[in-house]
Amino acid sequence: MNSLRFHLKLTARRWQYCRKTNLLILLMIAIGLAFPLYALLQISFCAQQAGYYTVKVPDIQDVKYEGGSTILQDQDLSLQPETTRVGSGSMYVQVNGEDLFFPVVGMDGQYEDFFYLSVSAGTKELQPGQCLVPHTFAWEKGLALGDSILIGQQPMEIAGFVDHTFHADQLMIRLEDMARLKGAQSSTLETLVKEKAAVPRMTMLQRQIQSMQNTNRLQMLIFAALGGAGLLIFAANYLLFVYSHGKRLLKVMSIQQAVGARRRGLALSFFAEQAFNGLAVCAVLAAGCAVWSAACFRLPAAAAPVGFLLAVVWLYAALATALVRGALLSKRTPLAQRVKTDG
Amino acid sequence: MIELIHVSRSFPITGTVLKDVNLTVNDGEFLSLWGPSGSGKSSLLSIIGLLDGGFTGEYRLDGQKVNPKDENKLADLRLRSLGFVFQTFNLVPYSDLLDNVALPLGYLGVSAARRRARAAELLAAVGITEGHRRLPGVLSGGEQQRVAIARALAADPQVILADEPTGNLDAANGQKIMEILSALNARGKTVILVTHDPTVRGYARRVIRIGDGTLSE
Repeated sequence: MNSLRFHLKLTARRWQYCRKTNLLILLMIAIGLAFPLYALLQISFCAQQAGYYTVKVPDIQDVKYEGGSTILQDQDLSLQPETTRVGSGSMYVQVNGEDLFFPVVGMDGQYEDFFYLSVSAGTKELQPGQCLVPHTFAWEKGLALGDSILIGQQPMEIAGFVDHTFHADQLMIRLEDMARLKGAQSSTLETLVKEKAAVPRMTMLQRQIQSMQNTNRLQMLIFAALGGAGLLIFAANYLLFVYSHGKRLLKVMSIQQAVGARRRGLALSFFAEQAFNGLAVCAVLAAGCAVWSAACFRLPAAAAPVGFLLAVVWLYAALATALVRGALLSKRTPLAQRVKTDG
Repeated sequence: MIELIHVSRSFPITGTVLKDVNLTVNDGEFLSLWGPSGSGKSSLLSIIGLLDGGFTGEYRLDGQKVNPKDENKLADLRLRSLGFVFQTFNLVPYSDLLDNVALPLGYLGVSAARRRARAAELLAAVGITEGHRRLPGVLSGGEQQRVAIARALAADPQVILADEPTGNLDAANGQKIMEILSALNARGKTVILVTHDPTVRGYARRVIRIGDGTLSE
């Protein structure tokens, strides 16, 4: 008797009846789910860029390098964007007093692909006078970020390490540096070791989020604004539901009680209904906080769980409020009076 | 049979509305309670209908003492033994007519198909033979009250309680409602109604006046 299934069926019917509220809640859930999904796709796209970047470069321009052996690796180099120009050659490199004849690649344009591949560098562009060295090479020679090596006569700062298979044996510098070094291999090499500079290390996730912020900031702001608006609308709607429509709900539940429904069943169905509302509130709040912070405050990693926590607190606070209010009303007002009042 | 023995009811603001009331209603009676506004007639009906458990004294239903603090028991008795018809109809606005009438049967665990069949039968009995899928909001007051009577009869209770059942209706519709209640009484149902309308009171075979919290026949 008084099965929960029957109570829930009646509750579901109430949702069907309240079409406008229902549609609004579904919309809010959709928006709430869209945000984290979008962020997830972005992150997974960035991760794909980071780990498996193998785009062919159709327009490789050979920058002639005179001196040493010239090596053109037109098929193996995989660079982004397409306008990137690349040249390659070999030169003497002096590291800790040791002369090495080393393949060097010069590039201009963005170097994001290599930065993603480097262990320590951020997503900034490689600056003149900076170079990337193979990770294994740096490990063998005891080089660290901020150290300098001499390429020809030019001191170059190590800005990152390259560990991609294709470039594991090459130094990378800017194309303009390569041009300046043209014919510069010299016999007057000297060791120059600068003090190690403190380069902040970023995790892969931080780099991905940063890239997402840089490339999709406008989109993120639009979504954040939409999310904020949705959040406010839903929060307002939810409060309206709890504090205003609650009276009507209590009337209907009183009618059900008057014709034989038990209080426990009614309370459970009421709780289920409020929990459904709360789910939507949670989704919107969590997504809103995550996207907002990612787009505006740059606190993505912390914001999602904090947002979710806030949402859960909100949900339980609202539920407790509704339940206490309902309980107080039903306690203070006998059933006989409740069925007579206007809903 | 309903027995009220030394029943009193007080409210914090209005004070005592029923004073040491004794009342016995036998099966098959048609009883009318009447009196001025605030005399306690609706309070008495609420106690008889087990909507109000805040009274003192003893309540017996078919010889069994009812514990007014046992809410589950009260709910079961309301479901099985008592049918209530309200002045304001009190239909569930988002359920269609069939579902409104079938509501008590749902709480009894009757299957959906049997609920609908029984509800259609009861609606036909009160003169609503079509449009069973309409929502109550589109019906006239008289039709809504007839649906409410059908709902009160759904679980086949012995006692039908009606609080000003014609209070919100015009004369013609009020007459129809009273004819339905009379017919139910003729079939053996106990009908107890509260009214201040002398015409409605005329349908009853026993009339009790309430004044100053006491009963007089």
